[in-house]
Amino acid sequence: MKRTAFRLLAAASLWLVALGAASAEERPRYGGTLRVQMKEAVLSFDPTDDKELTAARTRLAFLIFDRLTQIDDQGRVRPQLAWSWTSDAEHKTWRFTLRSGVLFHDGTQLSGAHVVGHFARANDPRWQVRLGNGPQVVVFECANPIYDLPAILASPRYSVVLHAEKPEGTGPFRVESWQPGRQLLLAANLDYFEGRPYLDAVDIQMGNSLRDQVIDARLDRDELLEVDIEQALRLQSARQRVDTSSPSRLLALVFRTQNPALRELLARSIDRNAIHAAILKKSGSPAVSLLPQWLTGYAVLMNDVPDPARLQKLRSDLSKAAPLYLAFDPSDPLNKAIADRIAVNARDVGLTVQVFGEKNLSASSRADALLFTFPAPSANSTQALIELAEAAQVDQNDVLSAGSPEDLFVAEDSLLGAYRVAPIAHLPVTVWLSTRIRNWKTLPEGRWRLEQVWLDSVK
Amino acid sequence: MRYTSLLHPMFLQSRFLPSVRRLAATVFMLLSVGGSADAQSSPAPDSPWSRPAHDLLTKALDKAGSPSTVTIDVENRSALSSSDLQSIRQAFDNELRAAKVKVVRMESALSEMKFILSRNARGLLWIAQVKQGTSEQVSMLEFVDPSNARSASPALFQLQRSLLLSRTSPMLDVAVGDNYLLVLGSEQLSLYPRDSPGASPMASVFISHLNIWPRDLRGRLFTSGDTFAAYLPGVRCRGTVRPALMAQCSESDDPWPLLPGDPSASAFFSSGRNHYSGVLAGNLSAASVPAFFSATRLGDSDGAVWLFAGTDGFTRLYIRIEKSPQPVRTVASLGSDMAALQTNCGSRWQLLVTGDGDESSPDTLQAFEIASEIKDRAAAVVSDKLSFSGPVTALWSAPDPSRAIAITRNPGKDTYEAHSVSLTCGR
Repeated sequence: MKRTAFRLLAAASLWLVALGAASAEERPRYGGTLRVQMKEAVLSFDPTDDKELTAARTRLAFLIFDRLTQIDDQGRVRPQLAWSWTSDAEHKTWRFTLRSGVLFHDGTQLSGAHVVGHFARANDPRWQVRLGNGPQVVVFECANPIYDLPAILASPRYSVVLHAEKPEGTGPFRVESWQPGRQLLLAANLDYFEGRPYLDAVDIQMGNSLRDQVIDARLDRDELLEVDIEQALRLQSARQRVDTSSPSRLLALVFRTQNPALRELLARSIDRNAIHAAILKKSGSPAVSLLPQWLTGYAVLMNDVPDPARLQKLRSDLSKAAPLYLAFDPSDPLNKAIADRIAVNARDVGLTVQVFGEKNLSASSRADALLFTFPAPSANSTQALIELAEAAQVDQNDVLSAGSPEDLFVAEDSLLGAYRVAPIAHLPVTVWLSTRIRNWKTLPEGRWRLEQVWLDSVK
Repeated sequence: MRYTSLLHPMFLQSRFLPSVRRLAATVFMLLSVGGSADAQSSPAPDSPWSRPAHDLLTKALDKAGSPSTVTIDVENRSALSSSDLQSIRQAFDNELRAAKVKVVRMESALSEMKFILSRNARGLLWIAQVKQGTSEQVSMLEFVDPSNARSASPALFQLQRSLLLSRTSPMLDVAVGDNYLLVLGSEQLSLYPRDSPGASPMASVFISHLNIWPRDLRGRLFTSGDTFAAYLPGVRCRGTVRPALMAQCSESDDPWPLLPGDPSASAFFSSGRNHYSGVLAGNLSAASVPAFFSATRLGDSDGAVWLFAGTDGFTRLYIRIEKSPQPVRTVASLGSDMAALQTNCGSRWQLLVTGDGDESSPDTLQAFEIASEIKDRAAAVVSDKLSFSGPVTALWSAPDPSRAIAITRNPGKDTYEAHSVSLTCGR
């Protein structure tokens, strides 16, 4: 008996020593407020309103709202609010079964009726949404086959929003206070169905000019700063912690002119390699495809081998073309340099391009072309191409019916062939991070997964 | 048929290969006409590239109308190794031969066939471009990279299993005592007689907990003499097996030991999740790795290798776990669950991993060895697959290092089964 007791004591001591030592070590700590600086002055955090879904709004959407599905790091579709889904053989009828027990931030329980009402308001002509058998089953009846609807519905633009006094989501963070264009204070959603975030709060300041000296001053105050390419390079050389995603943001010309020959000539005239090397300081990669090579694997097929005969024909057809107006966003100084370079390239093929800065690019009324940076898409090629097509307002039917990489390649090739969008470069998303930030994960598309982040107390 | 390549196979294996690859990303397979195929060594019939080569070529030839003569060009855009590249070339050769398509010089070819070995976010993407006159057909094949996942060398050893227990309620972990089995379930700890797989529990105690268990609940059980410690997300239980089964459970965020018999190496488990957070503790403290589903150690000396099965689908190999550990190798798709075996076979340390498939499909276990060269650290198959009728829901290293505990779900019987898995040398 005595020996048994001794053994018990010895064994217990061993565990206590081991666990006691471990408990003194670093562990994921709950709590703390993450202070973030975003460049864009976001005026609405509701991703389903009719405003342009910019990169900043996309990031906020992922923090506050959920979607029926989500895309993982490898581009696979995973359940989110929908626990499972099935389709008919034609891919025209899709049934989604919702997770039970999910709460909106105001305490309302998510039901199929909410989802149906939400999608009915959007009135998307591609599908009709109705309740299925049971309150948690939602059925999408598509006008035409949509091969990968679950991937499409993972887009932030299909976030499920409860339009109460303010837009309510089910996401990992709820809105605590909101000053449009200035500050968004988020608090952890303690009832989040995937577990509450480690952080207590996220304080997002926005719309501030982040010049170099401002950034330097903020390094001691903030934990996360959006920085541009040049700033990232400078901070990296100063041994600061900078996170760079895969090159995924598409910098492109989006044409408004209805003259296809003019679009093609300007697109063909761009010296992408020079822009990449001289202006972008070799950050990211020159682009001739809409989606980057790392994402699709087939972008290597989309080469830009010069076609002098075609160029000559376009030049002679457009010898008397009127000047073309190219608008760029002046908030990033690189945009002006790139626009100027495009104008120089255009001059080489006999086109006159006049560049001008426009704060609200998509509202520009006099531009024939916009120098536009598309937000980084997800790691799912289908969803990414749909997103680009929607943002560029070009036909997406081929993409919707794409069921294989070949189909997607053909669809993308077809989009490119219309010369509505002329890719220039794929750019990474760059942020400066405080050393306090732990569990930060670089996602290929530059999304912030702040629900996984925790703060170390030591800076 | 006799083949001549611009890059001799010996040269492809040389240390100059990286620069060769940089200089010539495109590897032309210039194949001479005439001669005998017998001169060329046959590829291993179980080459992981045979299937994708067959599938891609079938698609390409279907589209192109099976031209009788072609030229071949293979472009490596996915940083495949030289040995993989050789195997792939060989696989294409074999498939073309089987399809009765002759590889000829450019001037006498009906079609030009180009294979681009590319990669995307999901895995490998192989592209076949077939040019005939002015027309061009493109075919693609997307698949998981088998060179990262599974090597296909001949099996050396044999996996064996013995059924410990079968019951209807889920099991998270099982500890094997001298004459008992202690079983960790989602709501109970139960004591069963050993060597009696169909027996009823001799005793059970409830696990008290306030938090809601996450889906895909996981838990660990460690015994030391007659005492045990059980870990569930956010909860830790301590208790005794003898003289009576007793347990005291409380809320706890303490790290879980990673290895049986070595409580000093531990890691924090994400409360409300099914994985470890990636933050390590104990003698691995001050370090963090990407969040992982399981971790194990191969070797017990300075040359030990740590493996972490990340939640991102990558398995990372570390030689040193220090403040900012850097993996010496990251491989895809070794599976979410793995366990180490210490045996008298081969390098004496084997890695046991689960097979492909989801939670509803039959599963397998297979043993691997990790190459000792630091720069490579490739995983090589050393056993045949051990099949189960349902998914492996848990796989843990056991206190007896020559064994692992595998818990499976048998969908046919609607039961959960606990197995002790071991390795025997030879086939």
